[in-house]
Amino acid sequence: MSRFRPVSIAIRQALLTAAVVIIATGGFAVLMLVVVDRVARTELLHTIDTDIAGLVDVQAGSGAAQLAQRIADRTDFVTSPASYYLLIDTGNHRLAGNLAAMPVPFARTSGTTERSVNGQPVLLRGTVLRGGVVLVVGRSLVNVNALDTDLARLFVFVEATIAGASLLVGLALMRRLTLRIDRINQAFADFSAGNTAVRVGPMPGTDEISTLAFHTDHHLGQVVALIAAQREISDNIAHELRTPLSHLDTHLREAMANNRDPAIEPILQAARDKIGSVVTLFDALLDIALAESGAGYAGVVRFDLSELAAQVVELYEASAEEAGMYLTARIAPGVFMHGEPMQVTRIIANLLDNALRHLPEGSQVRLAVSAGPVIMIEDDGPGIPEADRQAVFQRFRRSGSTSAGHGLGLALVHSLATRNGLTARIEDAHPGARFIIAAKGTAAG
Amino acid sequence: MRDDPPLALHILLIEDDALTAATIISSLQAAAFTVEHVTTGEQGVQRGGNAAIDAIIIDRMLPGMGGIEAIARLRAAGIDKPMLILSALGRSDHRIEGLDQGADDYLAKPFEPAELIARLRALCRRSGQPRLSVLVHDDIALHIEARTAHRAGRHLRLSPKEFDLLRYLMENAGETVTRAMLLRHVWNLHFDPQTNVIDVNLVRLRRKLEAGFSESCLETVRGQGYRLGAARGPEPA
Repeated sequence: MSRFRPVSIAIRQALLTAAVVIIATGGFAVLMLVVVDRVARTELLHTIDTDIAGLVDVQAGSGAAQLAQRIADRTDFVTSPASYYLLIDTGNHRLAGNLAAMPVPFARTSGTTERSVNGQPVLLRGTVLRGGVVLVVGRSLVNVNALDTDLARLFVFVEATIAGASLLVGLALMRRLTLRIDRINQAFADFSAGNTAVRVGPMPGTDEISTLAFHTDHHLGQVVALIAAQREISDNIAHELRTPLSHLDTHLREAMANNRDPAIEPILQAARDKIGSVVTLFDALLDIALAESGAGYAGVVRFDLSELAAQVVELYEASAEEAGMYLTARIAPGVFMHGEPMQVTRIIANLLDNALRHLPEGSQVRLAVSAGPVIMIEDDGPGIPEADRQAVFQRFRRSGSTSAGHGLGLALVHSLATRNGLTARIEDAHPGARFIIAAKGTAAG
Repeated sequence: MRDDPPLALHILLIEDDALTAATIISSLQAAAFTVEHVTTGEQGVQRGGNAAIDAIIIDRMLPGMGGIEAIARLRAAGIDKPMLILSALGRSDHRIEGLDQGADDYLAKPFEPAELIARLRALCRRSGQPRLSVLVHDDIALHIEARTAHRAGRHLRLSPKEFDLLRYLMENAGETVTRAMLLRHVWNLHFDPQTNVIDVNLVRLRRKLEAGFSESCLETVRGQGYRLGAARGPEPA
C-alpha cells in the first residue's frame, strides 16, 4: 500500500469548477456594468442636450441677457446641486450660472467633459453660442456612479452565492465519486495486505466507475485463481518429488538396519544426508518462488518486531559465543510492523546464520532495530565487495570469498523482505558489511 | 514423573501411501504402539471418534478428502485427540497452515521413525497431563508460576528461554525430544536454522544443570535429539 496520501481529486475538481463559475459570472457582471454605465451616461447626456437646446432657443429669441436671466432663474430654482450651468463671455468671464468660470476644452465648437465639482463627479457639455459666449450645462454623475456601485455589489453577492453553491455541489458530487474510487483503492490495499477474499462488490449504475469496479473484482478473482494454481502446482511438484525421496530414504534406512558391513554404513548415511540436502534445497527454492509471487500461506498481522528480534538474538547469543564472536543488540522498544512474523523471524535468523557461517573468530556482530521499521545487522568482518552486494541476494550467488551453504539464504532474505513490504540492501560498515532491511518508502528503505 | 512407564499408545494412521504406511506401522509396533490403518480421509473421519484411539496420524494429501479437511471435520465433531500431520509438503508455511487448521503437530517426509514416535509420545503426554504448578524430575524442581528452578536444593540461574527449555524437557522426561520439537515448542519456529543454534543452547543448559554434579542428566540421543534421563545427586565434596 502506498504510504503517501494523495490530494483528493474531489477538492481539486470542486475548486476548479468554482473558479470557472467565478470567472464566467465575473466576466458577465463586468460586461453588464459597462453596458449599464454607458446607457446611464447616454441618458444623462440626452437630458443635458435637451436643456442646452431650450437655452439656445432662449438666446435666439430673446438675446443673451435673457439667457443669463433664465440661467440665473434656474440656478436659483434648482436647490439640489444635480444641475450645473455656466455662461461665460469670450473673455472667460462668468455671465451666469452656479459653476466657477473655468477654461473650457471646446473653445470653438461644442464638447463634453467630466469634472469634479465640490468633490462630486459631473458630466459637462459645452457649446459655443452666437456672439462667442459659451454655455456649459452639467449633470451630477453621483446617481450614475451609485447605480454602478449598487449593481457591482449585487453582482458580487450573486457571484459569491453561485460560486459557493457550485463549490458545495461540486464537492458533494465529487465526494460521491471519490467514495466509490476509495472502495476500489481499499480493495487493492486489503488484497496487498493479504486479504485475498476482499472484493469491491457491485456498484449502482453503469458509469465508468461501476465498470472499473467490475473489472477490478474480475481481475482480483483471476489473481486469486492464479495464486491458488501456482500453489497447487508447487504442492504437487513437492509431493511428487518428496514421496519418491521419502521411499528412497526408507529403503536406505532399512538397508542400514540390515547392513553388517561397517564400510557400507557411511556410504548409506551419506546417501541419506544427500536426500535431506536435496529436500532442503528444493524447499528453499519453493519458498523463494512462492514468496516472490505472494502465493505463500498469508498470515499478515501487526506484531512487536522488537520482541521478535530480541527472541532471535537470545537464540543466537550462545552460538555466537561458542563461535568466538560477540553478538550485541540495540533494539528500540515497541517497534511494531505489519507482516508475517515467521517470515520476518526467518529474515533475521538467516542473516545471523550468514554471519556465524562466514565471519572469522573474534568478529563483532551488531543487530539494531529501530522505528520505520529498520533492521540492521552489521559486522566488522572482511565485508562484501561492492560489485557483489546486489548479486548475493540472487539465487545460487555467493560473495566471491565464500563457498559454504547452498547460496539461497540471502536470496530468501530478499524475497521474504519484499513479501513483507521491506527492502534488503548491503552497505560498507568500514570495516565489515551492514545488511539493512527497512520498510519501503522510509529513508533507510 | 521419572517412573512413568513408556506410553503404549493406540494410533489411528490415515495414510494412502503403502510403503510409508508399512514403515510407520512397523516402527510404531516396535515401540509397543498399536496401529489402526485406513487409507482415506473419509474412513479416518469415521474411525477418529473411537474412544480407544489415543492419537491420529494423518497424511495431508489424500485422494478425495484431504488431510486438512479431515482434521477440520474431526475437530468440528468435538474430537480433541492429538493429531499429527505427516506430509510430503514440508515448507514452513505448510506447517503453520496445518497447525492453524487444528493439527497439534506437523512432520514432513522423509522423516525419522524415532522422531515420529517422540512427537506422538510428547503429544499424548501433554494432552493427558494436568497443569502442575511444580514439575519435579529426580532432584530437579521447577516452580512454574515463580519461574524458578532448583537442583538438589541449589538454585539454577536460568534465562527465561532456558527455563522454557528445561520445562519442555521435564514435561517429556525420559523421552527423546528432537531438535525440531524444541524449535517448535520452545522457540516457536517452523523452519530449520542453518546453524546448530539448538545444540549450542542445549549445551549451555546442560552446563548449568550439571555444574557441581558428577553425572550427566541431559543425554544426547545421537542423530535424534536430547533426553532428560535419570538425575543423580551432587558430587561428593
